[in-house]
Amino acid sequence: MKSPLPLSLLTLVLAGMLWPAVSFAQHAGHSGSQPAARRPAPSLSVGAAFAPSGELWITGLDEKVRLFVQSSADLGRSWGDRRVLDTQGDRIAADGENRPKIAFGPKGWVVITYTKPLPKPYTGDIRMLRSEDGGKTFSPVFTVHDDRQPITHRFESTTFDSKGSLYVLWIDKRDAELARARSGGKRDAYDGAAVYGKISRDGAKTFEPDLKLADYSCECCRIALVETPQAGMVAMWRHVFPKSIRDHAFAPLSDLGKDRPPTRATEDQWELAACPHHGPGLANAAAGGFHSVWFGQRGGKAAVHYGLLDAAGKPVGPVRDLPDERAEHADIAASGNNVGLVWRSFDGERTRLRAWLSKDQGQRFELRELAASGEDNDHPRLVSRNGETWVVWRTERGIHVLKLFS
Amino acid sequence: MCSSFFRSVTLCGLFAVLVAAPAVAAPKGVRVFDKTTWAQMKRDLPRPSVVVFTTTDCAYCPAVIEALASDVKKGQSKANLVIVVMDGAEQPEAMVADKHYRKGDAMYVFQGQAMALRYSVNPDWRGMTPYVAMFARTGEPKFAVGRPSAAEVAQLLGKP
Repeated sequence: MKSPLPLSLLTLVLAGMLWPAVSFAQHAGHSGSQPAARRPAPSLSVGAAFAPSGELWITGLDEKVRLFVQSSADLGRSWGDRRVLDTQGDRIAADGENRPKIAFGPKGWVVITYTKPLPKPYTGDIRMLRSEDGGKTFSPVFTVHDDRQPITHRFESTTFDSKGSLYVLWIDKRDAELARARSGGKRDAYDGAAVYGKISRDGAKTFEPDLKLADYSCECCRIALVETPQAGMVAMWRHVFPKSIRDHAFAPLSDLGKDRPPTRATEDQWELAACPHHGPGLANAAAGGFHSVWFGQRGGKAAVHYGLLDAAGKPVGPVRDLPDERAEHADIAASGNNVGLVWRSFDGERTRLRAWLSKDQGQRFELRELAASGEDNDHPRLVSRNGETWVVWRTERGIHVLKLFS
Repeated sequence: MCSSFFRSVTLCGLFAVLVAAPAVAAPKGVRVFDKTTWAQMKRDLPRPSVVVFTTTDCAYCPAVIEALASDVKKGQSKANLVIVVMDGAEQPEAMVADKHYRKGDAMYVFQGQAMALRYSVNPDWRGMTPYVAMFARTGEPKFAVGRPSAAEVAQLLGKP
């Protein structure tokens, strides 16, 4: 069954006049579902991915804070019914940096992951549901990691590579807890957390053991994952360098369990004893290496930055600020000569959805206004298929899907 | 310690006690921080006061709250400590139970667009936590990311 919604539901300022290539599509939302006064609004954070069939799938929390999946065969113009999944009563973290995710592999494999906050503050488990029939049915939910201490296992990132191996990475404090215990309880016994990961070769039926990728990650930011032709899966995350410098680190997932120091990927020198709540984005560059986007503070100025990394993850060339001093939570994608960045920006009344587009591999960019909303909204996400990249943006009234480049 | 401002908001209902998800009881002492709250705080908070904005996944926040609680409550010069949990609206009972949050004289949870609420506090705030607003005896609040310096706390308390 389809559930189209009228365009008038949202005061979106579409890019149609500014950017004819943008198409506007709607809406997995539900009218008449405004939360009651003084009742917490449900989180709008969603994960999105294209299925092998070309359908766009999303997963998130509904108005009753239940995990759902929903799919669209026409790039968001209409959506199938929401299907609520059994999560055995789990609480589910769903803020912008830590949201439910969905990933598709071969052989009908689909996984959905989320963080389950535990009763003790700052703790959580990474939970997963798996499917072998393309998402028609899902398994009972299970915990991904071997470590079952009631500590931090949060901010997971999940993806299949082109060979069908499933990678799950997350922020993990087992080493921090151990260091603190060994030190007699010193808070500064360990800087930040660690990045751990796990691999499955059979669609999440079985997993290899938990393996550490790096010590001293930041504790409250998303992890970027990208598959490269040369190095396989690679990751970029916010890291705690000596003296509490919050720059970013990069490592191939072939380093899982090998106790190798990661590569420093940014050089902002942002000294901060606090949580930025802002993780990086990463995309393959056609000329080799990577396009990256991250939030940081350089010389006292906070901004979202764009820069290039070489194939080893080291920064190369100039770092550029996005042309929006209020930009936040940017995402990035690239294909061939096209590079696209999207972000949101609040001006005091409305949230603008904006994009920076390049057709020459990042040498020159053009600013685009994609949409605006006075409603609460999620971070924008980019999803790609067959060289095309789309923006998925959830507001209170629905899911909005806009073409970024092709 | 509970100031007349905090008593008044409880008694008069200027800030409604949070009514969370249907199954969740509304714990006393947890108030809604909505789009009007910051302006009211600026107008009505007793001086000096310090307001700490925190999140439940901010690992740095407990230590900063503890340190601030110690800093502003010792000696003869004291300040009120207000805790604002930006992602606590769905679990107010956990906010009340948290030993760190209980160090505050009052506790709030964000209700509404977090981005707009942050903007109402300070348009330059990019979401880092803990974010600390310090209301000295007079003047506009000053802001700090992370634990304020000893000099900032001294200025807050009006010490030389």
